[in-house]
Amino acid sequence: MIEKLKSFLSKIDGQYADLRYEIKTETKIIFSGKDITEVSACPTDGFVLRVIKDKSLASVTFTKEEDFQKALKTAVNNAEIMSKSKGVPVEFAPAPVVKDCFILELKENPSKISIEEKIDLTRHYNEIPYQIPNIMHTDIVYSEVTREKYFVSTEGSELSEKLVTTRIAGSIISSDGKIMQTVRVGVGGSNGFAILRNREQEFVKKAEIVSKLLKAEPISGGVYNVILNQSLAGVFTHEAFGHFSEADLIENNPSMREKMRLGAQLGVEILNIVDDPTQPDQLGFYKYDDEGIQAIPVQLLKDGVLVGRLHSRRTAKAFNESINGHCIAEDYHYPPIIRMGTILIQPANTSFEELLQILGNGLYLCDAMGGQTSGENFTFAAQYGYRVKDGKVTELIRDINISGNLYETLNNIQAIANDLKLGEIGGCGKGQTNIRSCYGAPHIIIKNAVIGGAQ
Amino acid sequence: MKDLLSFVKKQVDQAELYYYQSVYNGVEYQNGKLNEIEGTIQCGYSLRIIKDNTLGFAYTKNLNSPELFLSGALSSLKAGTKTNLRFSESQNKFVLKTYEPEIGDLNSKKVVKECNRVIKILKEKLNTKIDIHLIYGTEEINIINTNGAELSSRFSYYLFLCSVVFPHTAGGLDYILKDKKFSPVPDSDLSDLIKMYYQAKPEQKLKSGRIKVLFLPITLYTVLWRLISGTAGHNIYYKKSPLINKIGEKIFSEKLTIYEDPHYDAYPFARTFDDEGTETKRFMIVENGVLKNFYYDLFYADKMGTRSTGNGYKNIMRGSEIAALKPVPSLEHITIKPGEKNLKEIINLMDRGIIVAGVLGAHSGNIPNGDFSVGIEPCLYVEKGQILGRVKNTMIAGNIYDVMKNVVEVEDKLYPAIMSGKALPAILFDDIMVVSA
Repeated sequence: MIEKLKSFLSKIDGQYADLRYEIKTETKIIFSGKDITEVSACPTDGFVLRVIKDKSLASVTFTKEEDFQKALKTAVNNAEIMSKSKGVPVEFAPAPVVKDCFILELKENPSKISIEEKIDLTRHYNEIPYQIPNIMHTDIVYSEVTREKYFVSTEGSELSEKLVTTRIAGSIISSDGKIMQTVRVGVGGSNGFAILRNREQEFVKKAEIVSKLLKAEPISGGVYNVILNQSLAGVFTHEAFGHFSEADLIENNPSMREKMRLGAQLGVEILNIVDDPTQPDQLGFYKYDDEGIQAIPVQLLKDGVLVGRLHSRRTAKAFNESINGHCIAEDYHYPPIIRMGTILIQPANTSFEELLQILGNGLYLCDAMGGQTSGENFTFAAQYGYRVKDGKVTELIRDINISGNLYETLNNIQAIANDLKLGEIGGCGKGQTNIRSCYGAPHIIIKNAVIGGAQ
Repeated sequence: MKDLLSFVKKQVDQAELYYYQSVYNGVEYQNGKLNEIEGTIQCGYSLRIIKDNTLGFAYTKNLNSPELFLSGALSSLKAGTKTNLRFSESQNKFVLKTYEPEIGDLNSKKVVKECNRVIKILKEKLNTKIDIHLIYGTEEINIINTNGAELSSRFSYYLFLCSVVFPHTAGGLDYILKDKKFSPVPDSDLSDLIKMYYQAKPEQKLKSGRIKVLFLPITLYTVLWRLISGTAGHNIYYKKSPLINKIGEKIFSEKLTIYEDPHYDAYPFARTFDDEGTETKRFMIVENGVLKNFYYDLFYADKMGTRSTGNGYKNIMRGSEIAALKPVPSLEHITIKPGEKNLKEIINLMDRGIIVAGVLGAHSGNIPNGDFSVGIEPCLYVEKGQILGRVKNTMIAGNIYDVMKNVVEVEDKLYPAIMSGKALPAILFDDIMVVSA
């Protein structure tokens, strides 16, 4: 395939061009309630062409080989239009020419597991919640996505990499006939099928929680001091802070760019944040990004000071900063954009029990249920939570959404625990879906968090 | 496609082949400058088969091997998904105006010229960040099956979204234009956008409490997603809806009439058949506050012993591969009947309240139960019928089956919508809990 891609690229007259071809195979086993409604395992494929001409970058995605000339013509025309309209001039930061074929050794290659065994395991986990009172429905999906990527550039890079992502995940719904409650559940990762085995306890725990939520008290809207558990603190790190360490989200926003200048004290001194796609056995692992750059860890926040950001080759040049291999595409439908790999708050020395004592009275909020950010402002939901009284975790609460301002919140972090945990499901929907976006944190305390509530 | 269907037909009881082709360009301006033009030339095939009352499914992008394609669908029979559904027998009986030939002459040069014109007008009046996202292109759908259905539709579209962003945010006032061909933004619309920006620019403080809340059309998906969940055929079948056994009951204010209108072809993507070839129709979901219908695809209609409402769509939320999706019950053309007051008259009804011009987190929370709890960005503050500015760090929360009983007024005009909805007005609700820092 590499040779075929090289022959296509040889027809291009421009400053720079790269061509990526992918075969994406997705195995899906879908349970809706106790019914199995789909089993599919289909390969799809496609190309992504990027061309720089007259300091303008244009990209075209296409399905059929015979559409290459049409795609090339479109890309060149669009680049010329951008150049003539005095768009933002594009240059790439220099990068080493790399030739490599990387295939991660998996702990049980899912392609070696029969579809029958995958169905049986998914059915087994799907049946667990129904042993708990008041569980009325489950939506549980086995998903195995393999991206087999081939990349060549006119600079001479020739790469192939295979990424395999597996998970069994979904939602559990309880009902008492009057209201319904929902929690998410899931196990998975990027290092093979083994991580999916012997995970019954995750499904038991979540089923018990969603059953109890039926009798939980809805939270009243207001301002609270809160402890976020690792999942929720991870979402906060990803949504509220992480996106603004992505250079493409701030480069054309002058007010955000001014605030996100390197060296700015953005948060409390105990706060350290890193993005590290090289962490082994984590969902966010990859070796090369979709521009052919080897990924490296990036310290983003050190002692509360902004010290790094995530880049593509284009933004690295525009910011005069170093490339770090964070430009990733969902698949062959898209040119790559800047993404987090594995972003996390680095742990401190405080135990969770000590955090509860520091909090005294407030809320303990657990497990993410989606989030979104807009400039300095963010919102994310918790699946459930507890009141904390005199440093003790007490009654269950529900209907919890948190909203806040990034900079105020980074300065309202009162304490960080020593119990870092990374998510197994993750995901991010910044224009494209990145199912391997991984995030996590230790427990943290945030003062004065705004919580929405219907009461 | 016919050859492939003939090949498949020999080994199954029923088969359905779906093909799509999509060609478009996306033009993006950031902070008033042309940032990107992306081209897309995509196609794909889906195959559904029924053998011994069991449903199978496969998809591919490049049809290199019909044998492998069929083999994928036959393998999927292992799921044992039982059904008595029969694929559609319908033919194209009437035609909607979904394709404007002049889209073929449209190019990025003309589109860029129009964007530059809009940017120039806005920049003369506004010293702020202006972003534009514009997509134009064509799409084609073909469905054939072993029951004789042979359907095709071609669509053209031109979607223009402009955001005037407030400082220190990524959120702003949004303007949407949808057409089936090139369509310049009217100067009067830009004047309205500029006027509202200046009204909303000063920062204000808001005391938390229960007040009037006006959802602009672009944010109504917050509540509509919960209704779409509650009336979906699959959620009715699995009893995942608070609306079970409530057909004929008054669930919302009598001022609300909400219907599916797939034949409304002033905007792109009107449909005479859904993604499984069933003829579509206009029908009520809620009429004068009374729940009238749920909506179904073929699979769940069969499960429920009823007929498909023509709502089996490959429900694409974000960038998914269309061919990889099976049809599910989906409301693709939701419309709300306009009221009798214009936007200015409705704002005049607000002694104290907020205007929801953008939301954060509408996809999170307990959607099946109808709950919502969202951040508002931007959140415009209104006092005595006047927009006085905007408030930061504000949330609203509630349950749609309470909130939508408290409709004060529905606007008399429909606008093109995003996310969910085809043509929507602004709606003013009373007594919604608002929390502000």
